Amino acid sequence: MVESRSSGRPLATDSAVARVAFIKVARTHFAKFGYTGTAMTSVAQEAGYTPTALRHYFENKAELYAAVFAATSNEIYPQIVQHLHSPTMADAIEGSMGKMLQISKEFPEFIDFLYRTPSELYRHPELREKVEVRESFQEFFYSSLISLGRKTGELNELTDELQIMFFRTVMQGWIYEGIFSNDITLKTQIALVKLLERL
Amino acid sequence: MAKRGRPAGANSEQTKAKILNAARLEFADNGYDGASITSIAGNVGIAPSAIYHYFQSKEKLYTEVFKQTSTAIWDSVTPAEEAKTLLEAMANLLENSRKIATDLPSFSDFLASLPIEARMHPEFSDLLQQRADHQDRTFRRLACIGIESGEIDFLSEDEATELIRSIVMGWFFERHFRQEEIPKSAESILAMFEHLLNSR
Repeated sequence: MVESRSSGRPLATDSAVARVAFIKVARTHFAKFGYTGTAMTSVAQEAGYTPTALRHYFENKAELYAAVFAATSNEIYPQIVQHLHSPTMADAIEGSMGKMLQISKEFPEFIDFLYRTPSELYRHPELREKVEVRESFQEFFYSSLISLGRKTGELNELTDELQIMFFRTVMQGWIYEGIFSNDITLKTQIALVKLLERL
Repeated sequence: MAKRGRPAGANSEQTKAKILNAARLEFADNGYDGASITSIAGNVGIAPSAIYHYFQSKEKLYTEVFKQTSTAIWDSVTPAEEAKTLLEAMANLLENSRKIATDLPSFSDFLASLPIEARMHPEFSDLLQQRADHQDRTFRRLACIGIESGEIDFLSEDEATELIRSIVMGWFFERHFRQEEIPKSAESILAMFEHLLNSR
């Protein structure tokens, strides 16, 4: 027998839908207005729910931020990591940079959100523990990249530590300066590949 | 009897400078949207209306802080004519940038947040262009030093410029966002770069 639903927590299926809607709207707000400028009430309203409903899922703004970060990085990181399976380190660099540029065009709000993350962590150190995966992802990515270079013989001298530091700095620098520009990306890719060819 | 209105002559430049300093701190701490003219005025010890007398609007104030801050920084990190090698010039640049971050933290804070502000506020897109021009001038100069000295013989000027841009800005931002320098990061990067340049 079908009964009218009582108030309170929505049914499971609705629940997933609401959660997805909150995250989608919140991602745009965090990207556009920053952590400080984002209001729980505006996120709820734009998603078409009450602030109470939003708070049912995310107790506070920090939890909401953590959830948006998790959803966003779960979407992006695997697409980048794929390129670690490239035959050479040069291919992996070219492929992962190209992929990020492509994502920034197809899903600008994802990259806008991630682009702001380091500056939000700087301003709001309490968020750091919520997005620890960012740091571990970077460590994993850059050390895997260097291992690949060692395996293929593209890198042979100097310590891993030095190599990780160098390539991490260059690629993060490219993200900060070039991820929104085709021209910068292309030239940086070529320069890195040429550097590797010399080794 | 004291007249109301604009403070008299000699103080005017001083007041302007004080406002710019206080505004840089306020923008660096709270971002463009979060910055309050009232608290800037409070920190200078003047009425908020006096700020509008000098700078008309928050947008104008932000633009002026940007111009002053970026000129000061880029002038002090652009390599001197006498720099003979790229590695030496880069070492100097990183050292100067490190000094600025330590001595004048609000300069680095303000400039580090500009790309985000400009993305969120299209009215600042010409500041982003000015920032790019400052960068291009400095990094292209470094690239040319490297090409002239023979340190870089396998990249075009454009490619070398982009590579140097990514190295320097990556180092700057990683250091900035962590609020501390990864020990020996500048030395490691330069050692690795030197190794890469000298290979083969």
